Amino acid sequence: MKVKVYAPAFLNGDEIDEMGNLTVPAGATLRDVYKKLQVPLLLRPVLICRVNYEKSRLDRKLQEGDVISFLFPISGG
Amino acid sequence: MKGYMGKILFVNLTSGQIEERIIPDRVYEMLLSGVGLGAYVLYNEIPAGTDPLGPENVLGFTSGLLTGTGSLMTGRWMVVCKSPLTGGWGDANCGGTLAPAIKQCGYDGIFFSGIAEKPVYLLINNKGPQLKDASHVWGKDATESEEILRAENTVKKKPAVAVIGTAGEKVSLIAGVCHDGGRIAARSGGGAVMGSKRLKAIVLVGSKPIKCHDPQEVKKISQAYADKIRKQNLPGIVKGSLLPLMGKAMTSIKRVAPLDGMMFALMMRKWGTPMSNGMAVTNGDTPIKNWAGSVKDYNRSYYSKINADYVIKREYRKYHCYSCVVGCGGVCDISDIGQGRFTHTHKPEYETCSVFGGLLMNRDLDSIFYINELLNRAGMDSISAGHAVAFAMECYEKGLLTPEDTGGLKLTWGNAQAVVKLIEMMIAREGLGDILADGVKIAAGKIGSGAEEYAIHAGGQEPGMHDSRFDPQMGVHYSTDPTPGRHTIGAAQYYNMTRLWEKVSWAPAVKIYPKDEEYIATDREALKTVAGACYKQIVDGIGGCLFAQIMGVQHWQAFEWLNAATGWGKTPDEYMLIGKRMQTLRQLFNVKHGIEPKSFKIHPRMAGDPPLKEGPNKGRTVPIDDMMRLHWKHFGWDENTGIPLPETIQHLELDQLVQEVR
Ligand code: SF4
Repeated sequence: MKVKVYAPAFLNGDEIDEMGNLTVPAGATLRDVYKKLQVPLLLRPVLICRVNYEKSRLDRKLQEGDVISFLFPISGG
Repeated sequence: MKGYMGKILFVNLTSGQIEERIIPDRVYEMLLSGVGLGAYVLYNEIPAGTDPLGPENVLGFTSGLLTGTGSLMTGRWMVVCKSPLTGGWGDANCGGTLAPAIKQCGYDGIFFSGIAEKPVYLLINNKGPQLKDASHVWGKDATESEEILRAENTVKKKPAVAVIGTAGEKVSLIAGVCHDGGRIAARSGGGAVMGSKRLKAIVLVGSKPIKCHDPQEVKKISQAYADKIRKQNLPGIVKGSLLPLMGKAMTSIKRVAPLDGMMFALMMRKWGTPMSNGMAVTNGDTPIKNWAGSVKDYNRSYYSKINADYVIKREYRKYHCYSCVVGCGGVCDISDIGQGRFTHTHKPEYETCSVFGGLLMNRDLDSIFYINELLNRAGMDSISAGHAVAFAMECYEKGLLTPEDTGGLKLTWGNAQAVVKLIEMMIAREGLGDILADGVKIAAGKIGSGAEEYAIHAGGQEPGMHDSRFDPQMGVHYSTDPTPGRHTIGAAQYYNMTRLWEKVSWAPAVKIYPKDEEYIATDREALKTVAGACYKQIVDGIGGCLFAQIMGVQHWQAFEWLNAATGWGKTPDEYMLIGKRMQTLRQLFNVKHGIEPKSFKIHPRMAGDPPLKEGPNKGRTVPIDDMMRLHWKHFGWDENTGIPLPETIQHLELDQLVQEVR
């Protein structure tokens, strides 16, 4: 199944396509996405990540079309 | 029933004649409203060669096509005119409550020509439009004038007021138009045009309904968007002191990713634009020391003093524009600053904090709050004013200005007291302040002796506080937009978050890419800047907010709202063609008025000539000539001159649109 992932540039986004989709097996959890993105263990507690714009635990089971976003800054104004 | 009112009001201030004009549906379908409607009227009304401060210039206030339809973050109004600062197309926009008020008075735009014999203001209420004497508020600052005019004209409903301060009255070319006690449509010198017409204010009290094609569908889209935004709150552990570290991290990665704009809302809700105060210094986005320095100069001991947390520490009330669900604004207590001269000020934006911070090597945040209020009341653009001070400081350092020229002021970097004094002199147009009050280009011409080397501008307008050596696309927009020097048109950062490629067939899609790619002039990069510029026209045609735009088309659904409001059933590609038409008409306005598009190229320093020796942008150069050429080519404009090609004008049907009203 496909989930949409907005990953910051320091993670491994090679498998994310141009529309932002990442293919994961059915029943995959947020932790599986972290593994694919190679999120360093040390960073996991401090990274701000949302699934469908809600706080989520790493064992959250993902559904087709879920949106996974990470907070990373841009400067604007 | 298409979201727009179908009429404009035209006021001749010389004769006092006021007339309503019907605008054909076709104009809206080809140019939307807002800046597009403004371009249509001004292109046709202002004769070539008109003096921007003369009676033939036309000044317009327009609202957006989607304003008041039930869509969200579409409540911005625009000032349009021939700019006295650039000599070409001028526009500026502002939030607040004026945009719906224009429509509730029955119009999509209110336009003024001529010059009044004595100061006047336009009042529109249930008796219709009338010009009224403004002598009693002439000479007063914008905030005080607004309060007086509002009190005088409140019956049941509070009027919405747009007003100039003393800077506009004194025809400072960097004066803007003020609103809501501290908001300002600052750029392009619209306040100077208003002052030259002796038009102090417009005061609007309307109650006409704003009808659209399918209000239920508009509401449905709005509901989905609002639901997402309301969920966005930052955990308390994320402190402002972390932001500069995040900025630093950005520079070490050397890659760029298209991020989720919805997460941007999270930070905007907490801090507003000052969230960038330290972060943009460490990542290289903030120009330092008149664009000649870096974070090595304005180091932690400086930027930590203007941290976002210190800004919001003074915030006692949140503020949001009409129809906004983010609310990036705020009101701050400043009663302990400047011997209590002012009680409060609108939260200073990032632009103001950085132009009076890093650009001047100033770390005194209190002085920035104070200057913010001085400028808001005078109605002077903080971006241009800050650049004028930076220019003067560099001239002082290089010996082109002496203490005799400055009235004894020691214009050394970071001297906050001197900055405050110089701003007061600019507002009063006294001594050196009089020279600087018309922006750096004119000031450099008056000072001479090579001063133009330190006058940082594009086409006469000082640039926003976003470094083109950090984001070269920003430099392309600074140089190619018909209103040069504006940071709100486009940038790689904006493009990547807006995600146009999800809906527009020809907008290049973006995956994680090496930062170095941004520094190479390619057709692909040019298509991105073209797409960004076209979309920005749509946003300015509907009254949209830039911060909504950069949340992305997957969230803030401008195309879908447009179809629901108008019933046009157009595709995103068709809307982008409208954006291209709007931008091309603005460019044609400049051509008509004798502007050579090439002359809008950014100052060499802004393109890394000479390159910086330190900091995140060390050694970065921007091939600006090639980038401008490719941008023009993909717009269908002559790639060597920037003049729209005849076949493009024909393809966009601009020849018909302009001819039929001539
Ligand atoms: S995000 Fe800020 S500027 Fe934009 S509409 Fe909302 S309050 Fe106004």
